[in-house]
Amino acid sequence: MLTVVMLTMGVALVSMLILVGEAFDESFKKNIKGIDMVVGAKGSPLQLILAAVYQIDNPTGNISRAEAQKLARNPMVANAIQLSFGDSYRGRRIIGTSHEYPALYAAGLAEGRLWESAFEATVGAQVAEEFGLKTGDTFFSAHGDDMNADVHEEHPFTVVGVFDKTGTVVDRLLLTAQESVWSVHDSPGDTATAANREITAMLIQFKNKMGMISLPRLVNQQTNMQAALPAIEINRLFELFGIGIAALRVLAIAIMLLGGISVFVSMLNSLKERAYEMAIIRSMGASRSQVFMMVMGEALLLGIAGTFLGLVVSHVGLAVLNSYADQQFGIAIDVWRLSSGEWILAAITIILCIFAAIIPALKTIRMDVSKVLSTYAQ
Amino acid sequence: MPFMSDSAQAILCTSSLSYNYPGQADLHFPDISCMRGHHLLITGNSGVGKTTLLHLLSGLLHVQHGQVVIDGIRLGELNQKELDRFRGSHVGLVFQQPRFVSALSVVDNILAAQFFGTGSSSRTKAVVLLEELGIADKADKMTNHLSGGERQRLAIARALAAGPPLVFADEPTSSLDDANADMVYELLVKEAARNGATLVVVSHDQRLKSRFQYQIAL
Repeated sequence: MLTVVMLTMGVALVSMLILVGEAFDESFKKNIKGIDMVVGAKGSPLQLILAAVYQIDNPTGNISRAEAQKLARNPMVANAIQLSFGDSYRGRRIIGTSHEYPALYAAGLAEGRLWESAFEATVGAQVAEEFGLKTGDTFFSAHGDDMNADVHEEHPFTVVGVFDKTGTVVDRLLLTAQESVWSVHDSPGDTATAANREITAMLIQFKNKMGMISLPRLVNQQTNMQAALPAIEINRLFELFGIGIAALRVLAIAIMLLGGISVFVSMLNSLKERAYEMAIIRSMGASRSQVFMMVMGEALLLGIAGTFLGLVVSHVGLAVLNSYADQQFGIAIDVWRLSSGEWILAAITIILCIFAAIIPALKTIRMDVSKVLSTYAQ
Repeated sequence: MPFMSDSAQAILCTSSLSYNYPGQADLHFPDISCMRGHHLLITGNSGVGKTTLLHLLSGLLHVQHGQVVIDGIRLGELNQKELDRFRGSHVGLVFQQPRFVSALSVVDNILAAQFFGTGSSSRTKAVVLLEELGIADKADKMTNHLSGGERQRLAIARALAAGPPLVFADEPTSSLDDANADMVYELLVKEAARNGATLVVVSHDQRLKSRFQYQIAL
């Protein structure tokens, strides 16, 4: 039946919108857990967050390690993690940092161990899978994030471990000691010392919520660095996308309405064609309320069938797309359960079907049985 | 089995019955008094109101003027719901062109008639009825897979399904040749008798005039 197909497609589309939206939402939230404030070079705070937390986009510049360490000693700071960017391996970012960084994402080890000395790297699950890296392999880094950038032939890295899949940015990174990043870019004769080392960013966790009030202002006004709050910047990002999200919502509602209208029209037509049969049923002794219940029952079944099929189509479709999404965005959608949004979708769909059927049902029970029977009797 | 007739009891009785369709002249019907077991033929040419009378007698039309009494119950006093229920249990209808619920199988159509008429259904009884009419082997087939003759038999079976005391047949033989008309008539009478129902046939078919002892002309 065409109506079932329309209903199925409608439900499937809206369900996919819901699931993908939720997956993005969850992914964003997962990656900022434990990070209250990010400190980096002055510039766009959104860019700093995207670069330092989500590992998308380039950082705003570098900051002085000494200044950052001074900030880390502030009594309101519970935890401070240093990040040094600069290099990549075949497009995947290499970050010089401490063991606290993977700990932030509760990243366990699938094999090997965490890096200790310079040029030892522990790689994320996705990176290992993409390039077939395992413990003991060596590789060369390249400057910048470009896959075709200059390769630094002089300093090979050794893979000493591979992380478990975390569903966070760690999967797509190669982590190493900060020394590795600094050495690679030192030329012989450089007099860089511990005093004037630079880092890219620092991830800070407050001792308590009071930190949010005073620390960012302190950093922005009294230092050469800027402080960005992930929660605020991400909200701002979603606001920018707001129009897109609102448009999607309108689309979803339009699809559902269309489905409802389709059920309405289809029931109207079908009952018109079956008028004589309905009259026969009345002639057999069925009361009007019994016939009404029959029609509503049909609509209910239609709604349930369409909803069930729609959810099946959506989940199967997403399962197919999952491998692609996972690779590109590190977002995996759990297709084996229904999100709360989908339960609401199911309820709305069924209620919509029932409502769509009310008028056709009323028309059916108001029919003049005698007239219908005589009309078709010839 | 011999038909027990409660001789003082009229199964169907009308008085001063008339009906008006808006914009048309009134239709006046002669008073009818039909005893149990006295199968009745109502004759008249087309357009004289046979179908209207049939619908009034079976409760498909509300009585406007006059009275219809079936098995002691005045139809005019029933509300719509009661009327529907009454019709289901007391009146079996055989229409000229047999039509069924096409989504249901043959036996399910019988069960549906039982259900709407009595509130319960029995597959055993349904199959017995189908056997009487010689179509039990088609019990699980869909109704549109039946031949014309089989559909007629199913129509009769459906009319008897809820065990009504009255069976109305609207032009059951008009479109049939002599042999088939004969067969259908015999079937109707036999089955009505077997199931304890009184037959009322509404028809302009001349061939039936010689068969019925009791007749009324419109």
